[in-house]
Amino acid sequence: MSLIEIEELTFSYSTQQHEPALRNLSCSIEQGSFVGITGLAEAGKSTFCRLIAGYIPHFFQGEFSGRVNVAGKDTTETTIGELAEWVGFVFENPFDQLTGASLTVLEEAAFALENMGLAREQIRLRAEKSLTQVGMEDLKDRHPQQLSGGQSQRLALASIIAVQPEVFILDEPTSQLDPLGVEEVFDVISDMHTRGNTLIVVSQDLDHLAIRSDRLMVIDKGEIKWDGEPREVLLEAAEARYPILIPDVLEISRKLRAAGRIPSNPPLPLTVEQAANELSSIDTPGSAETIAAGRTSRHSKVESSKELVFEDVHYDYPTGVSAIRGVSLSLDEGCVCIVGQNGAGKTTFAKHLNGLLRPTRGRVLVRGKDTREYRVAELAREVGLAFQNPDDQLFRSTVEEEVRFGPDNVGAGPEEAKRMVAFAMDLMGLEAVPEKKPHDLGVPERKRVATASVIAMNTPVVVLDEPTGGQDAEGIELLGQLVGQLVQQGKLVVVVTHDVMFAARHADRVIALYQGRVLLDDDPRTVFGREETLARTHVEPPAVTRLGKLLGLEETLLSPEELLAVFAPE
Amino acid sequence: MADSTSQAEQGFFSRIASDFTTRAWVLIPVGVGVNFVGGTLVTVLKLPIFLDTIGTILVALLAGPWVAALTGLITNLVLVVSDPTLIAFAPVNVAIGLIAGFLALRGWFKTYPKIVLSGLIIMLTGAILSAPIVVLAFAGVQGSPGRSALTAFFLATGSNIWQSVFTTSVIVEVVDKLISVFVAVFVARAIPERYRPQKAQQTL
Amino acid sequence: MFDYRPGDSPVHLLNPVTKLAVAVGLTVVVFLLPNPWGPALIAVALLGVAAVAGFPGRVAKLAAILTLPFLVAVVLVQGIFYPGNETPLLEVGPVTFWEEGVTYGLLVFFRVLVVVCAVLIMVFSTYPKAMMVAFIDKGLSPKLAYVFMASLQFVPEMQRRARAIIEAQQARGLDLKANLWRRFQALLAMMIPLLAGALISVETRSLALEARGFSRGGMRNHLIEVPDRTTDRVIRWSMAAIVVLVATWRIVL
Repeated sequence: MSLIEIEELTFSYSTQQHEPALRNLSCSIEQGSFVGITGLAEAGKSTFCRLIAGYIPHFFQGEFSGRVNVAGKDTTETTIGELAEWVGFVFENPFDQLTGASLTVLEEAAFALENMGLAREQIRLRAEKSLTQVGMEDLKDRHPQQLSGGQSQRLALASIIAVQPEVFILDEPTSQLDPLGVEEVFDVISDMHTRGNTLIVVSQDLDHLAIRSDRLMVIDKGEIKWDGEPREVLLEAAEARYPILIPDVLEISRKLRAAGRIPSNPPLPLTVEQAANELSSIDTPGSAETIAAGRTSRHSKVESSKELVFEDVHYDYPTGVSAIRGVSLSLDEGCVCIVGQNGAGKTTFAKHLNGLLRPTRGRVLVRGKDTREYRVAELAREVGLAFQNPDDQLFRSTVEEEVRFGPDNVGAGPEEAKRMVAFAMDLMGLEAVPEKKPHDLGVPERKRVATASVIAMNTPVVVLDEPTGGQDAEGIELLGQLVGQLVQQGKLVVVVTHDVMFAARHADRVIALYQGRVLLDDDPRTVFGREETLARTHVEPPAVTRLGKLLGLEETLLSPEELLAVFAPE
Repeated sequence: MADSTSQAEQGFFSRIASDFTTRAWVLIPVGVGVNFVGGTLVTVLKLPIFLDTIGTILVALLAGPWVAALTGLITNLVLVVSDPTLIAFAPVNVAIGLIAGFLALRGWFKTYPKIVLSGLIIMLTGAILSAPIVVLAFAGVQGSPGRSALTAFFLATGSNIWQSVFTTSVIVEVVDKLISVFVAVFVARAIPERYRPQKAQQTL
Repeated sequence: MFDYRPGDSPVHLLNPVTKLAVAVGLTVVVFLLPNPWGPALIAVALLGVAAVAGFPGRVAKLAAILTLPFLVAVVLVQGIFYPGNETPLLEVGPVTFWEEGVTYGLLVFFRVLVVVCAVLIMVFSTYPKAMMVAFIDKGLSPKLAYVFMASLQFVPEMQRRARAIIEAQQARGLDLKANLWRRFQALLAMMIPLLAGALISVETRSLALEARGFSRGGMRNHLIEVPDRTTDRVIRWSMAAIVVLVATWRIVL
């Protein structure tokens, strides 16, 4: 008998009765396996996880039919607490799942053990051991609120490891983390797998997930669409043009196989190294010139009026931390991406663009206005800034009203506001849900509502803070189109992002920040070509760029198409 | 939504206990936090009110009187770390939670006239309970210099200390409590159903 | 907000329940005492305790910040309006300050000062988690202990979120300096996201707690041990005896 058995399961939440979240789903999961789960937003991935942990039907109510068995127990007949000894759960938000009542990391890891009433020495030993397993033994006296996202997520893992459950469920554990945090968490996950734990990991990040899992499931509209060996599943999904984030290296290899450039029998590559290995054996009929010819020069616009000017800007937080240390630059038009590790000053930089922060030294000019002399509400007519967390702003009762909030504030006339609201909702793929309550939407859609409300202000400058975080392939595509549209309208779009693929595809200019200073500032090809320099601020160039480097190509590559032009010119 | 319990045949204490689901327990720190943050928001917006019990009222709407009373109590216990004297006013905050919760259960937050009345009842509860504390423990002096000056004014015009403290309290609190209840109702209504505790279905 | 100052003084080593018992006992005593001298002496003694604990400066400074405005107000109000005023003390223009009122004002001030000092010493010298464990050992429900700890920690988190919301709404053009009516409306633009966001995290947190045995019955144990020594019991009983003595004295006389 398998560890987990799900039979003919159908479930709809009581808040969405007409739309079953899972439809007649059956599957079984063996002890010791690592199952990756992916799919579009709202496909039923979280519902699947909640069922196994018994959160459905014990916490989330609704219509339930079918059977879920975990380690021989029917989940409907146990409680969440009992099941917790078998099933550990890590949630998406790194901070919300901490108890909030611990003053040190060690106390947090010990919380469940305290409740289990173990002996004091036993509690300490087990908590310390699980912290060591996630590499946090040095942080055990740190206050949990002072952890980074990645550390916080590892702590959540440690506090569950301490309970020693049979199966670990991780629901989008890395979608809110920076690249460093993503690596940290996936390293721990890999380690757990080698220790023989059973893992179920939901993620959009197939670059990390596919190579580690030994089984990949794609859930689509409440049903399992594909289920099998990760390479095979990805291949089928790619051939069906299914909108998930297929790793570039796999896609490249698939196309080269289709073009007959490489034999189709060996397994498809999932990492840059595997792909480089495969490609190093074949010749390159296309050449560097081919790329140069095909390369669209996006950074050639005539310098227009300076939209945003930073003059030797310094910023120290009241706590004394220097976040910006001497930045001078001007931003005119096109899409400018700001990259760099957490703490490099990206968000502080973005907050200077609309006067939320004013430089402690130097000055910032927004379309000629010194930000120190204007209120944020006034500068909001020039610069619209969409923050990362949609839940910090949504408060209206319908999506349409929410999107209207911005234009109404900046005094757009009713006609103008109506037009802009329609335009923004259309661009963000919200035209079908104008009457819905923003909070009834999922996180990716909520985020698009928040972005739309800023777009609708029709400001000459638009700043987006981490817009692609947590978005599925479709959402990222929409954002790409949005940036294109805005740039075409002659606006300046500044995107603060960890998503180097997005930057490589859409940026006209990339600025890498490091410790509050500009590390690199050039067109994306030049910036992503400087792999060693970027490493200082923990930015890794896109997979295809690294692949090109490994293959010894002279030109820096930015897209799979460019690489294909080298290996399989039409 | 958690720990669904059968409503039938329960004693008084177990009825209270049934209000305290895990969701309700976790709601209490939120209510306490809102009580604190209310003050921050009115400072930022330069509004002449306090909003220091709005979290208690919100919890009353979402989870009923007993959870709200505990929210009130814990608020004042936590306040000790910023001003120890405020511990004396814990009973007031508890009473506001209870009154607001019972009013909510009886549907007194459903129509605008009733919301206004609820606001006034809550305000009076606060004024009646805080008067003995202010008079006996603080000799009539409590809160901002403006508040003390107002009490002094009533004393100077011949009122006794009890009248002065009570009148001051009514004047200072009436706008605050009316706005608190309205904001609390709007906020509670705006909360998406899936995140509302079950109790809120009775009260909104 | 002020917090725990680590240390290993005798005050730090006391059981938190003992410290609370002393604070409560002293509060009762100062409210029984009829003139300012007793409370004043106790306040001085408490400063001595703070010195033993290693933070006399902090206690003195914070107590001053917290109670001096009160001192001024209460002496003014009672000095002028105390019903039992008979003996003029000082005349400033048309206003007369009376001895009885000033004395009563001072009495109330010292009472408040004692309570403030006692609480400050308790807060500074007690690791919050140890306080919780000590109370659970004495029979407090672990869930109550949890909400207290969580509330204490949640306040700064909510303040951070409130600031993030204020920034996000300003970025969408919300004007903090608009007219009064608009500012009242702005309250909703801030309160709703604050609560909605908090409730979303509440959902996650309640599941996470449930999954870590929060609702579980039966024995619990604790990572840290909070000893209850003989000294603690002696201090608690002495405090109780003092309260009874003072009460008897006040009621009999």
